[in-house]
Amino acid sequence: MHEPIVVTNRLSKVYAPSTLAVDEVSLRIERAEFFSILGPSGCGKTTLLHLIGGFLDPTSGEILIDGVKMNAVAPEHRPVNTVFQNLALFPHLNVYQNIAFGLKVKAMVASRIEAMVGEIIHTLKLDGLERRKPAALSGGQQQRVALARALVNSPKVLLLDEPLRSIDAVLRRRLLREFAALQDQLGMTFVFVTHDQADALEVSKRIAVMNAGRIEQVGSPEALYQRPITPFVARFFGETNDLSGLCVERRGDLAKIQTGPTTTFWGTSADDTTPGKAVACFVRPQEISMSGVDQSIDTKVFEGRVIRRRFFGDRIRYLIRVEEHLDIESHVVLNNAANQFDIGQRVAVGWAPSSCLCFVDEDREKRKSNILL
Amino acid sequence: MINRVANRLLSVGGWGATLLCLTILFLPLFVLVVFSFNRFPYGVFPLKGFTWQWYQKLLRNDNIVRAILNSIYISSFATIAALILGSLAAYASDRAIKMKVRFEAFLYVPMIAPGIILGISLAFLFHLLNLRLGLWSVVFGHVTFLAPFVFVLVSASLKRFDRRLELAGRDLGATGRQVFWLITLSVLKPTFLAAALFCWTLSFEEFIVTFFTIGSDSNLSMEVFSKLRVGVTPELNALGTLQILVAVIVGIWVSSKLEGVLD
Repeated sequence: MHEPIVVTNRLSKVYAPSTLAVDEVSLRIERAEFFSILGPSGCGKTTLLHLIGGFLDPTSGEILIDGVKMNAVAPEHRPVNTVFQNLALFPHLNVYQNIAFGLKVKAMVASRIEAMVGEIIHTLKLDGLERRKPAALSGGQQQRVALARALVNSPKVLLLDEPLRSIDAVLRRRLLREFAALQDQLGMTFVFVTHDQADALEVSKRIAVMNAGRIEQVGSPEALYQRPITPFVARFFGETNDLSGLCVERRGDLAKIQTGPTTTFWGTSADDTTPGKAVACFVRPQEISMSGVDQSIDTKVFEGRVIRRRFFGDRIRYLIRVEEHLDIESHVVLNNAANQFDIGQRVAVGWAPSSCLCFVDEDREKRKSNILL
Repeated sequence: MINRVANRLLSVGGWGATLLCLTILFLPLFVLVVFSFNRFPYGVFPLKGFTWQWYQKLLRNDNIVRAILNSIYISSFATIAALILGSLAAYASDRAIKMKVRFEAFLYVPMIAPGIILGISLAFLFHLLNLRLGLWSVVFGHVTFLAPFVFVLVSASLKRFDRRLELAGRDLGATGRQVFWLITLSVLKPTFLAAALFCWTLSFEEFIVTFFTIGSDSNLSMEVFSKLRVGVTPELNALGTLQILVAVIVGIWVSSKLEGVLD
């Protein structure tokens, strides 16, 4: 049984007249996986989820759930359940009736409904709230009711459409961890849509990063953070120094980049970065080493002046100005050996070429060709 | 100092205004209730002692009892018909009909048209069609102006209704029909209750349209009107008091019913 539970093949959704919300998305979501679809607002992630849930018809492409083609199947007949962004709890029904709704419309025997609802209420720690209306519950309780209402139907896939959006970060992380523990315990597939990368990192086994209707990259949190394959993903995950320049030399994996009249550095590139191309380069602040100008370090790239220094408990964040329009942020973890620098002090900053990732900057390349045309 | 005086004046003035308002609203009703228990048959002071006799007389008056039953009959049927028609129109206008604005403008006409115009036109229509007037024609007449009220109320609720609840219902396995009955209609239940109460009351006390369409039949408003020609009798005071009582009881019942739903 290594066949994925959800497969989309070149799935597209065009909203009239010509808004491409989802653009040829091909995904494979594995069984019992906590899979996240991550992207900024308006990137098409909710549309994609609604295509899987059956609330929207795809313009082209196909959706398979558990090996069965689902394109023409109505939402009530798909083996998936959704927890909606606003939760959509039924305001006229109490907690028990909300959770029992799915079983009741399927005409299940009353005694079985009672047993199943009772069990899920217990699992999600909703005991004692059965007779309350949704309006009389706290935000966290409402989330649990929405989750219980979906889970009690034992879907093959549970779709979560940013259900925690309106909840503050601390409670949200806690609920997410609960969700993840539950997912693990039930061995069910969860597909979680979110715009918050920290939320996605908290719980996901794999993440699909989406931008402008397309999937930019699919991978484990580590892979997305350490080995992004597009500039968008590199910018989206965590803090990074975003340097732009022109490729002037290419040697195997290494590329030499010119950022200013006199400043160049070496980075790593996996794509067709060749001399003459506009490039976007990314170095994480914690990969950047700092030293006094009098010391010699072999990774030295630039010299600059410390213009900002912020203390963050376990680390210090420095901002170093190399030249006009070129600032580098560096995070130095505090330990006994760590050097400390003052504002105004001249320092050398550097990095290993392997920690600087370079990509052809398609936007700037396009603009260049537009000017030429 | 000046501020405190001003505040004090404002607060006294506010209380005064509230009291005046309540007095204007309730004094006539209060007088009616008091005189319904007065032994002397004419509406003059001083009061002459307590009696139930006007109530007994009222309930022994076959004409009035029949008129009350007729009024209940008219109000009930008119309310049911208006609820069905108005709600269907509201649903269609919310979900299906594209030219909403013009469609709604047409529906508002019978609501805004003066009762006398509506009454005359209805009487004329029934005459043209050679139909005999009676309670059913009153029901028909009342529906023409009640249905638009229902339409307005239900439309407003449908606009506020979160369509995602229907998606959630489908997601949980309900068919389109189940979603309609178990979710859409059920969520709108308080609106239907409010609309029904509103219609029933409007219909029950309606006079002008009834006057033109009732023919030789009678209902409560007709009966009261014909009695007024010989002056306000203590029986009418008793009738009024009973109506106030019913209104208060129904009002309390409905607000207790709606309380849980509206919050």
